[in-house]
Amino acid sequence: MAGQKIGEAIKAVLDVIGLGVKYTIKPERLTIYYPYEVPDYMGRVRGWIGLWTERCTSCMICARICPTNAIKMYMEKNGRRYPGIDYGRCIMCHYCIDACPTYALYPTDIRDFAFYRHEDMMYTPDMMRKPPQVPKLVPHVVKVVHEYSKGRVVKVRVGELGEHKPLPPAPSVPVVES
Amino acid sequence: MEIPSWLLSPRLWDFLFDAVVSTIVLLTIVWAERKIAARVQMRVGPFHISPRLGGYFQLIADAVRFVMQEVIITVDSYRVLFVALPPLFVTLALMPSFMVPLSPYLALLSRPSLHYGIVMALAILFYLFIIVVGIGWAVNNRFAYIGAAREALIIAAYEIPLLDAFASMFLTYKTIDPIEIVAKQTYIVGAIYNPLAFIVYIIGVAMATSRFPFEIADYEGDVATGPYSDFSSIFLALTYAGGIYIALFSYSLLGALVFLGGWAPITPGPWPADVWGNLAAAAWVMIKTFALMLFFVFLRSVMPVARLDHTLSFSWRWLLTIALAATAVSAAEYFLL
Ligand code: SF4
Ligand code: SF4
Repeated sequence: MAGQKIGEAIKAVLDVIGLGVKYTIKPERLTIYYPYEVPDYMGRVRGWIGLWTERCTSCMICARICPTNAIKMYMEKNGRRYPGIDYGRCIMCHYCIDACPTYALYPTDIRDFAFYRHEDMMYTPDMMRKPPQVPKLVPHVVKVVHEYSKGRVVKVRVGELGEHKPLPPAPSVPVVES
Repeated sequence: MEIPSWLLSPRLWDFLFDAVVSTIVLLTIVWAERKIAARVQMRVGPFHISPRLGGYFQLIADAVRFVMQEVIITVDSYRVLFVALPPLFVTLALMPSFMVPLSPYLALLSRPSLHYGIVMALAILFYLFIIVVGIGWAVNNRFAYIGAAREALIIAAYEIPLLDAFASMFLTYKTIDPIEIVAKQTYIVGAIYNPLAFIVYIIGVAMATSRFPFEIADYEGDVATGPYSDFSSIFLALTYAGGIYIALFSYSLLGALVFLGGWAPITPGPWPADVWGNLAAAAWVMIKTFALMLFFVFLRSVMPVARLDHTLSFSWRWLLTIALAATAVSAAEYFLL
């Protein structure tokens, strides 16, 4: 029993050293050099949050549901309050979008936005009306594929980096005139 | 023009060679450790500083960062030792490599004291990790205490087998003189004379210098770099981020001399006449040292971390047994060879 265990342990140690040597000599790298290469998120990414102020009823459900208290309600000129998101706190959970009863908040897949100062992260309702301009650094989106049959890792281009477009509004919701 | 005699002194050349080459070896080994770990983990590793050289200068950038960083001495620490122990650590870690010869004629010490070079080097290296316990006490936070306690337990566990491994080799060679030890390995290296002692040496050094899988005292997942957990800036560079690698270098140099045959196939002539032969011998020792270090840092990329109690029971139960068996083998060789 004990002899068998010791044999197994020694074999495991030799095995793992062999595996390490194999990868040291012939590495398979998964690294994607962002931002020189943009990884493919397969369309499932939670990004920048847009707002149609015409649809918002100022119910503040979004501000209350937000787990990080990122949403502040700003008083606008027409005497009503609209949400503005502090991206320094937002964790992109999109609970606010799920909670909004009138689909006034909408999701996008814009993820490559960065800020120089903390004040720039505070989005006011008018800033949330149109998507931020994100510079396009590279034209292609790449994806790491593990070819199990050949036992190697390759990077393939999976199409162009498209323009970010806001999603079309959900139909049949009453629009509140402001 | 006559070359002044002090310019050809073997002590000066030994010192210069050791200092310069050990610096290069250390820079390369840390870079190699990062690169190997990155390759095994399907990453790239250091790259963006000097991409043509594979990010080799990343380490120099890190060193500059360590030196420029603000020196923070925490309020709760024992300030004198907090400041004094890191330089002491690095000094003691580097000292053993100056006590052993790099070729039959290149040595800092001269005859009667050179005879005891390896023994003195071992004595200093065993003191070294007591300093780590001292650092844990001086840093004085809970992680440092736990790390220092772990280090103390591990010191007790590896010291006897490691010493036993070296003692067995002394028994095999029937001498403790480093030059004679290398002379005896001209045809067969020590690792083949007594493979058990070599295994004990490998495991013991991995434990002594906190290589994986024995990175227990300063394992970041458990104790946040343990005894060094409040160190930053130059203190971190002198201990955790640099000093331990220097200790690894010293241990590997001893291993290269005792187990891998030192400068063995090369037999240079006397010093001032055969300068290039002596330097080639020294370079050959350094290549062996580098190979040993490469193995030790390679372990990081493939090994898990062992638990403290497993390590202690493994050490006292198996490592000590193997070490005693190695002594038995050496005793047999002592009478037969
Ligand atoms: S996405 Fe989540 S964190 Fe961000 S504003 Fe909406 S609810 Fe708050
Ligand atoms: S955005 Fe939606 S949830 Fe938020 S206040 Fe307006 S209507 Fe309410």
